[in-house]
Amino acid sequence: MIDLNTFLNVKALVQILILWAVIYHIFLFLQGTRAVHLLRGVIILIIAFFLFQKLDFLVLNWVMTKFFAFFLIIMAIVLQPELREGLIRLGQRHLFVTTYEKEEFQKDLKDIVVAVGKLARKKIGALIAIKRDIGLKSYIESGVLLSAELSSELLQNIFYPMAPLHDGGVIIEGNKIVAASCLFPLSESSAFEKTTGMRHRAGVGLSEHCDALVIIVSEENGSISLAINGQLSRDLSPNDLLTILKGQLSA
Amino acid sequence: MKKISLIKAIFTQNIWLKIISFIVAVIVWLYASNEILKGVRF
Repeated sequence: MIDLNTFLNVKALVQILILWAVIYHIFLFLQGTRAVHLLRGVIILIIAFFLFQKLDFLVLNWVMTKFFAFFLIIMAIVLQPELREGLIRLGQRHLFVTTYEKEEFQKDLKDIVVAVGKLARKKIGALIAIKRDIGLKSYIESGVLLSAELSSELLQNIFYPMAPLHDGGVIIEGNKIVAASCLFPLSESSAFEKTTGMRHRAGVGLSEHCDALVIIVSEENGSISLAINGQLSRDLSPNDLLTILKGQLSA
Repeated sequence: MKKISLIKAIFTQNIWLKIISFIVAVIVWLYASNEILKGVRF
């Protein structure tokens, strides 16, 4: 067994901290990707593997060891896009906190709020998700990839009622409109009135699943709402929205 | 970003994920240390 002195020495602490950072970033990256479903299966297999080891089930243990060798290769092939993106992002992140280039992001927020204000005045429905830490890959894959520079005009254009991409939500990452016409999960919260529309339910639903900020413009009355962590703030003015977004994104 | 808000953000953003990943890191470290002390190579 490990004695207390070994445990408490500085080297051990540094190693634990490095492990922590790596594992935290792996978890952060896996959230919101299809890899998370695979991860559940992997965890079950690992638990089974340790159980077989402890119980001295020699044959099952042998089978599992052989299986794991193949499984690692299969995982690398299946998750190749995620692994590549993860490695690219590796050098672009802060260790334990996400920061934004302030001046650039202030302008982008204004673009979003101006578009939302104009859409609200014209009573055009809109659903806009702003990504924070947790990946939205599975939702991006449900829509049409754009990867376009964020602008107020483009946002308005997307939600124009006759436009092909107006149905569904837009996903914004940094200063890019990553995808449009995306499907968001509907909230099943009983806190809603029965009259609450699908767009609002989808907005709240997404904010329940991840840390994204979701802006919803009602096409019925042109009201602006913001969903954060499953909570909906209704009837916001564009100025209120800008203040809350700034506060949330520079926290 | 000011230093205080950076520190505040470290303790507020994704706090559960940080706690869980810390627990996993400690478990991995304990398991690996044990295996090394037993003389088992990975």
